[in-house]
Amino acid sequence: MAHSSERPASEGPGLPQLGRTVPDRIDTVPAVAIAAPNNAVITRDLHGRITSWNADAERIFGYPAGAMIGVSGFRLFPAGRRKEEEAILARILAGAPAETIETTQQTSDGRSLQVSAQLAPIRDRNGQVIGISIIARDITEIRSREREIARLSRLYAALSEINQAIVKTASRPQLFERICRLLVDQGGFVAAWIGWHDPAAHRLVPSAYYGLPGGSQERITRYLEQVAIYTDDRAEARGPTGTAFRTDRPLICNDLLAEPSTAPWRAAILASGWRASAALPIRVAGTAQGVLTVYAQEVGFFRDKEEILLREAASDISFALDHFAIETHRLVAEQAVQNERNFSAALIDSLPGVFYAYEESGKFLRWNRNFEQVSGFSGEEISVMHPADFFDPSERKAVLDRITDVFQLGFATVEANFRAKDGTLTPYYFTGTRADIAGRRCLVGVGIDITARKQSEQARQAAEDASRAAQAELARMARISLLGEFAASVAHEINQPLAAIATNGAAATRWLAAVPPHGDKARDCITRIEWEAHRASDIIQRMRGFVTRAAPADTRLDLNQMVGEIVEFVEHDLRNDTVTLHTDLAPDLPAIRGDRIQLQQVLLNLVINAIEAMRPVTDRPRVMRIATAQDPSCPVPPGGVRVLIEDSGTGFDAAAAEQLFGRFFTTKLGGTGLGLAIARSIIEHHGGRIWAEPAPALRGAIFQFSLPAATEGSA
Amino acid sequence: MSTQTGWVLVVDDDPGMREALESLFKSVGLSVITCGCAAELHALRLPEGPRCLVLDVRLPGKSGLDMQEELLRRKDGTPIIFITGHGDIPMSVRAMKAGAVEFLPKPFRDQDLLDAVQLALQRDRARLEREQATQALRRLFDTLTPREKEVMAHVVEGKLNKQIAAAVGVSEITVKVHRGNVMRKMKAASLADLVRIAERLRDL
Repeated sequence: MAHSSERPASEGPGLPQLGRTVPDRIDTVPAVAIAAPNNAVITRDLHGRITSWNADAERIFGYPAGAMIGVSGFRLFPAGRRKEEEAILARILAGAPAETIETTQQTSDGRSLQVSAQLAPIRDRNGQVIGISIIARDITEIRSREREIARLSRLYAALSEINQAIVKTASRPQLFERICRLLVDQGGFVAAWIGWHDPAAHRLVPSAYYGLPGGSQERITRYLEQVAIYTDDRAEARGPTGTAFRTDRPLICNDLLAEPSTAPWRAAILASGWRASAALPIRVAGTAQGVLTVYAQEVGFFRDKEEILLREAASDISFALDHFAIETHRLVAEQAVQNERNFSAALIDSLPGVFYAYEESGKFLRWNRNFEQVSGFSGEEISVMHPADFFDPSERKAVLDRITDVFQLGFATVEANFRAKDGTLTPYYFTGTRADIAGRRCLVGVGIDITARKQSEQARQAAEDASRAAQAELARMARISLLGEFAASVAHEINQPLAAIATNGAAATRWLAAVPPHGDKARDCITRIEWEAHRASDIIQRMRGFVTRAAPADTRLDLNQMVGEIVEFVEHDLRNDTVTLHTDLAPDLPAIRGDRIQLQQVLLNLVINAIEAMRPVTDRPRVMRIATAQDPSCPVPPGGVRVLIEDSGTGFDAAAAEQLFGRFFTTKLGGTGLGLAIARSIIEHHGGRIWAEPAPALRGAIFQFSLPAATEGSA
Repeated sequence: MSTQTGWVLVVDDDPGMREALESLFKSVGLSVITCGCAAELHALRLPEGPRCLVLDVRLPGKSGLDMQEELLRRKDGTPIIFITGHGDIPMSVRAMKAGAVEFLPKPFRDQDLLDAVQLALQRDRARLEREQATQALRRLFDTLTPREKEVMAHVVEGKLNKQIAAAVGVSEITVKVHRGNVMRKMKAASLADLVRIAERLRDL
């Protein structure tokens, strides 16, 4: 308040005067005054003299109206704002509307008040401005409260930011950095730092710090360079920060210079210009591991609200750090799980075949990319499909049986065609292993494409079949031709002596018939006949020798099996000649002993004979029947075994039955007539007999031979 | 028993068969030469007179059929009878087409063989007679002078004496003289006879 030596010109309440001066306008001013009690109402004239000073003005400012009325030096603004005041007053006197200003005034007792004042012109009846009304209000308390609210708002904003930082920040150094910055930028502190405990050095090592731009940034840096705070019991451990750490309690120091424990850093404190500090321990897992210290330039800066806020911040930081530890642990574990997951995913996807895992119900849990590619179904489709859907209906049962095996026995495999969405079937080899996944019984397995293997198997099979067929054909040809060749060569050899005998006989006859008879010539002929006969006999002996020479083998033979082999040999011929074959093999046929190859030749000869005998037959079915039976008629104990070959061929005269086995008898075109003769030699050599008879049923022939059964126990 | 004579040439690799055949043919008065193979036969100086070959089809070295082909190439008309221990139909067809007299499988009836041999010798005798007659004509033809041979060639072509005279460059009378000499020397009874003789000479 401006102090004036001028005394007010008259005593008395301002209101009547005001009312008197501007009776027609008075309604505006009192209206305000009445509407706002506790308002100082002051009026002044054009010369600046105070014309009224009401009771509230007396109370607020501490000056009585009597002392103020008539005084002309009243100033609204402090010395620094005089120009501003002049301008406002000039505007109002010039007729401008009301203006509100805020200023400070001093009371009579020297207090400083925050005042809000409305200035308005006072007019006479003619509207002429005759003075200025000032309605003033003490807003010191309001402003102070507002400031406090702003400070708290800032503090809470800072705390909120700190909490957000805690949420958003992933690492401790980053968090500390941000907290320091927030406390300064938002919290209203000039500098902040966080020291972290180094147990080895017993020291709080600055981990993060920040200072208000415009001086404090450099100061905090220098300060922390100069200051070393320890955590043991030396002097440099007994300052506010060290004490807060050691005692694990917040420590507010509202006057650093007055505090004796700050002695070691006095120079640094003086240099920094900071006068108050608050140190708050930061805990990890319940014990102090560091200290957050903030500074203010004013002594007594830290009050309970700040303390509460800082405690809360420290507590949040501690929580964050604990959370970090847990989070880090969780992240490590999660990373390990993720790694494992990535590894198995990569493994599964890199599998050459398809991978699948499904529940006992058939619900798919997992499959690899290959599975989708091979099947042609999308993951979405697979998730609602059943394993059986991937197989042809014809194979489903087999596959489902194997799946059942997996759940019952633990493991199974199956070869089946994997059916894709487009219906294509690919041969696969599937495995299945029972596994517990998330407490449920599942089947886990892989499938491998075995197309290539199948193809090579088929190719090999085909090659084997072909080579077996070729071998069989070769063997068949060899066996068939053997008898024929043999017979042909025997026939040729025997023909020579026979022809010679016949010719010599004819010559002898002619020599004897001559006149006179040439007995000597005839005798020569007869000698040669004799000689040729011996030669023929030799040939036959040689033939016998051929048969017997090849028969040193004396093994146990199963005639049924041999019949089977022969049938296999001639299958091709039977088909070619459309011959229907019936076999009628005795199940308990005793074994015989003999030479396999020779007896095969007999069988083959009889079968080929039968086939050839049926070749001219076109008016009835060509039927061959091969039967084996026990032959009790065999004189040699323990009886014999009989083989019967019946055909529907051209047959033969009953009278010729015995002749058949003679040499050179043949009913076949191009036959040598020796096959049956040799067959008889072989059978007789084996102690058996061979015979033929007409077949009345089939209108062909029946050839039979019987051989003695092998005695029991003979190898 | 036939009284006809001739040579039977037997080629068979079986000695017993050779002896039997030799005895058989001799018993009917035929002369026989036996060989074991074709080479042996070639080495022999074959006798004059009617002859025939009795060949076994299967022989060491050249087969009987090979020998037949060779004789045909050499225009040797010796008749052939085949005997065989293992002949088949295609083989016999081939042999018969090539001019064989007979194809007999062993063992054969002696009479069949002897009949075949007689037939063969008869053919060979006819062949020989034909050859001898031609040889006689050839000798007569050789007695003609070059001018007479020239005139004869024109005569058998049916040309008139006037044409012959112009062609040869002599008088018609001279042609008549040469012509008379040709008819006489060649023992031709008529022009037709002379033409026949000329044809036989050409075949030679």
